[in-house]
Amino acid sequence: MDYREQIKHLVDAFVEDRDKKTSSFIPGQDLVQYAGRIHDSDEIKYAIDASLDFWLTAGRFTDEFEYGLGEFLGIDNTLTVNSGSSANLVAFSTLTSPKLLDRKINKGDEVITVAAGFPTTVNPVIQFGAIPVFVDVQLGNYCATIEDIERAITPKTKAIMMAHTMGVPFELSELRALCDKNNLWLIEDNCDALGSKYNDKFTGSFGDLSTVSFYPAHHITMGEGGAVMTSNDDLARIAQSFRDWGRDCYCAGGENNSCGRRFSQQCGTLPFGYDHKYVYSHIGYNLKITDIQAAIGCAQLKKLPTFIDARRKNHEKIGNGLKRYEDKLILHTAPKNSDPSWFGYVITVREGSNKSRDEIVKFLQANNIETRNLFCGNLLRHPAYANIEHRVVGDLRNTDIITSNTFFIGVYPGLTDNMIDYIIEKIGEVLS
Amino acid sequence: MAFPRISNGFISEKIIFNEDLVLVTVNLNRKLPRIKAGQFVHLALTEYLPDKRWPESRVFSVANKTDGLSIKLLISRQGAFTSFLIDKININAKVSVKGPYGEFAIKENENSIVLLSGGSGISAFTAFLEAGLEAHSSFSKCKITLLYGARNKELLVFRDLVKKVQNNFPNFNVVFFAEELEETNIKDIIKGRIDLGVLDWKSEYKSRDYYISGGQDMINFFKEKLTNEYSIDLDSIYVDAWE
Repeated sequence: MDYREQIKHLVDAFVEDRDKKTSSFIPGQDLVQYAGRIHDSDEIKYAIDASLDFWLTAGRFTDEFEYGLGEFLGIDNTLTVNSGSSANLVAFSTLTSPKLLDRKINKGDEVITVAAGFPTTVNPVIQFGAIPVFVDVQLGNYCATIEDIERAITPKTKAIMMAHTMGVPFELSELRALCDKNNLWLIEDNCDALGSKYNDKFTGSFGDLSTVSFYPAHHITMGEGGAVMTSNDDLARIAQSFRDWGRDCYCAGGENNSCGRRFSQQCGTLPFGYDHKYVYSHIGYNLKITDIQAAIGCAQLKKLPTFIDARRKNHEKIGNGLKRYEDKLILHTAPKNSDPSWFGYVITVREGSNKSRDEIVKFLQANNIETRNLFCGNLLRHPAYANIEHRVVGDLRNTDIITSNTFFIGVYPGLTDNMIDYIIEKIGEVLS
Repeated sequence: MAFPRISNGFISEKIIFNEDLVLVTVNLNRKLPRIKAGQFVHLALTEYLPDKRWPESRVFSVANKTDGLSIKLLISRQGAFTSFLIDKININAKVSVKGPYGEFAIKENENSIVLLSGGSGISAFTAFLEAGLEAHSSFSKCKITLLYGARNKELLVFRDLVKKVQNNFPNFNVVFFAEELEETNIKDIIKGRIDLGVLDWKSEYKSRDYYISGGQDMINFFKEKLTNEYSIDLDSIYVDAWE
């Protein structure tokens, strides 16, 4: 047996020994996490395999991961980046490329989005100098309505960029049709929703571009990581340029002259034949991942279908358990035609309930049950966004209710039935 | 351009046209991304080992409309690499392919286009022609003229495909050229090199887009001729050129 195989066998033994020592869940004593990384020895073996290759930058595991994720979701091009937020940055930046001619997003153009979500869905819009236009969301599924989005469209609107909040798909077929009718780009922030479906089609595959996150709280993880996905080959090439320093060349690391025209192109006002490897067509970034991250992602990707099933099962069990408190809590729902791969179980405490969101959350925390707010609530109430140029269509009444009354608990695959029973018991206790 | 991908594979067919020209079919273990007509791949004559660097390779146009699992490459003798491929590489030989690359994709929505193809340069157009046979729409909207030349009529290796397209689509015209032509009874081949003079320059040819595929000398020759003699804008000339 070669050294590589010996090391892998030792990893198996290490993980077996480690997991033997893990005791079973003791309610009240052990923490019930809202999320967490789930892995076995496969992830460690993959990471070690990549480490032993010592390729470090994007290599065989990146190739395998990008191919596998694209095949899974039915999207032609997958571009890994170092986080979901970077994925949003690259996806939005792609639409600002001069290569898109009159469809390019310019400073001052409007992008429709929501304020109840995660800031880095909106940040690239603001950072570029486009104007975010906020619409309200519904309580229960936390999606904007098609009617509200349609009302927000003006001649200045160039794109819609929204997240499938907590794994719940917004009405994608209808929104796609609305975008097509109005010649708008659609970016799906799919970071919370990997594996969700709308009309039997995976989220992420409706938009011109979509993004995924592989942070440990997400459906699969590689530590830090994300991806931009698109079936539009031209957008894929632009996205790659923004990720890779803005360069025009698309050779992979260590490659030369893949295009066959490295020294024979006229680019801008550079001397003819200037080395294409160092020609820049965008003002870009370096947001690549390492092959070790991708290797962990490869192992996780194999588990994704079971992770999705577990999230659905856990969500359903929590929903069934909380049904009796519907007079006090708005339970988590999804639009018809959707099949979410839930990120968490979102609860909004009804106005007039005997307990406030903060009282419930504090009680759960005291009983070792983790909760989280629905991220930032109303983004516009945060100090950093106090003076941003923006437009609100209608009001953000529900968004404000979310800021005060909403929280979520976990549905991640690490939860056991005992843990879920304990969560439901404690919520019942605080409400009674 | 879809992100390129690497796949190992093997030569499943080798058609020898003459000592300098072969058509190989490569069956791939892993599907390549969508390949647009006119794009090319890198072919290496060894298996690719994922933890090693990509081996020495050469680029070839993908000569067929493909599902990404089976590709045809027309190989003409150029140097040591292609000589080795033509002379030594046989059926079942292990190879690796990386791609697709390139932006020499014919814009099918243009009103009318002229394709100039010299010798094995036809391989940049054959996927487009095959696709046209399957999807009538792209041809019915588009006036296409192909000027297809080779050293002799045997080296017009895709003549049958081209004629089939011609028979199916009234908007598609072809003029064949052969530098060496002994027979006098062949009506559809003009003896000599590709000649732009056969086009009716009084009609709309000045407003067409021109796609040129062939050797570098041929590309330079026609590019210059089209711009200088026929006042065709450089932006309307697309060339399939590699270093």
